[in-house]
Amino acid sequence: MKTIFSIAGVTIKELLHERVFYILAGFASLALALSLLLGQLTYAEKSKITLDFFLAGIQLSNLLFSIFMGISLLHRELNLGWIAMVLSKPVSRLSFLVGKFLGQTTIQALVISLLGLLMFVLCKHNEIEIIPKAIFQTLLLFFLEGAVMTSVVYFFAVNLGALIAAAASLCMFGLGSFTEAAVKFNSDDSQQTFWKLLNSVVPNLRLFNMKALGSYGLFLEWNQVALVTLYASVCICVYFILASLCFARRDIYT
Amino acid sequence: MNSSMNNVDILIKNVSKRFSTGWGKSKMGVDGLSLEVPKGQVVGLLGPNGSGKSTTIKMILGFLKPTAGEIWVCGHQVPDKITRSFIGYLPENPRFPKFLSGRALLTFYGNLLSLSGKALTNRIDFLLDLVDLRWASEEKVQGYSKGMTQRLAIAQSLLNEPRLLIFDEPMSGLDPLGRKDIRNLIRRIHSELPEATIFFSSHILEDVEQLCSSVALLRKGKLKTFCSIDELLKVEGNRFEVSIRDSQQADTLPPGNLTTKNLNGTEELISFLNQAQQKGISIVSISSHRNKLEEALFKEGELNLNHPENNQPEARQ
Repeated sequence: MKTIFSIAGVTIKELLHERVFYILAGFASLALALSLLLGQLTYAEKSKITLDFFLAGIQLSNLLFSIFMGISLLHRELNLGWIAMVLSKPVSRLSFLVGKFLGQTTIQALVISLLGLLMFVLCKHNEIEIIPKAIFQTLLLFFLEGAVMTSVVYFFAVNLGALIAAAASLCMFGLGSFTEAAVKFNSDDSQQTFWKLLNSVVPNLRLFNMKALGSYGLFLEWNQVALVTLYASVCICVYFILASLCFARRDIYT
Repeated sequence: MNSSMNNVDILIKNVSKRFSTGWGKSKMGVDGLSLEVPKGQVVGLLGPNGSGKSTTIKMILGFLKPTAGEIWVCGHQVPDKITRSFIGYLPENPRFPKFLSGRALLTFYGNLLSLSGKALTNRIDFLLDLVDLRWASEEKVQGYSKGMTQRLAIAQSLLNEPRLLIFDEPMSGLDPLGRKDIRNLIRRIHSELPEATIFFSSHILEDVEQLCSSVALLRKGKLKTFCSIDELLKVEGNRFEVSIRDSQQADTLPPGNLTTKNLNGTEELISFLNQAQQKGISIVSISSHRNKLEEALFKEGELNLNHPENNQPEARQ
């Protein structure tokens, strides 16, 4: 465990020294500011729509963090040869991936918390009413969605080049967000079989998306949140096992 | 593990590595390599670029999977991660996360080796002194020169007081002074860790000659020979070229006008030097015919050593 936490610690430092991190953080802050402006343009339910934009901005930023930081972290290790120094020690490749994952998700949790705080301040300043419990649950599920996406990104990043891995991860996000709806609304039997099959392979990311509920101040029962957390943990484990199996077989040339 | 492995730190059994070059084509990187590296020796892995030295080292570390054969390190089969707890590794071009200081990096690598607390701090201080980097230990690695980075990499390879040190081209890319520093450092490591086996690759005969007790010569992925360095140097014989200036003619000959003498063997050289002293002949330079040996090493069919199997050097402490 000490090995994993050491790698996670260095990963956190690495991300905090990363230019892309600050670009994404800037983008996230801009998205929140833009949400405020867009919310002001609407006629009805101004505060709900503004809040919805805020949450959408945080979700999008978190997704971009998962994909770009994940790919950048792993590809830098492999391309710059830093990994040779780590793997020449008695460290398994799985421990290496888990350490990186823990470091990255810690930073993602920090970013979501800071953006949540910024959103809270902006809402207070603009007299937008928020239900803290609903917002907390929404942000928690965003974090879980980000963690699932990060594990998916790691799976692609250890197998593919940076660009293809990013494209594949974005596709996976799209499929994960819409396959449940495709199963529900598709009347054609053969097509529905296809979507059902896809839905069983791709993580169902709709489960983590409760921004509509959050913006209306609605929330889930805690046992439902626990079930979603369990689902996220299973998804992360499955993608991590797949990623580590592929990574263990991979030749490292650095 | 069998009993014959007790005196062997690296055992490579009929290992091959084939690399895919795309479109169904492949290239042999290492071809049926078998090698036993005895404990406590400094062994050089010598060969021209592309001969399979780095591939062999990366297979020993478990970075590359052999296509065939097996590798054992200190009695454990690669890729078992326990093998790496015996190894200190210096890559050809060591690269570190630039946002950390030298000390922070050594602490990180120490933690990966399950070292911590006072023991780790003391070890780091000792190693920073050994590689003469204590003064720069709080600076970020970003500002380190190539030589400093190399010395930091050597320090990290020694954190766990390894039983087996693997250095991949340790003098690569360094200036003559830097190379000399690293050579001296390797000598010092060998004197401080006399039980440790040092296995390093190079394509520079001079480095290998000065540091190694035995040498494995690779060519096109195959082991050409594995013998003691003395045996290897005997191939060409000790030939010397001596440039002299006769002091009696010094006033009449223009400066730089020298006579060259070719001598075979050390005895002939010593006898000549004695005569020169008696006759008042000035010795301007003495050089050995090393180039021919290097050519012989790297050209197919010019090296007349026996088959590798007959050339396993005896373990020398």
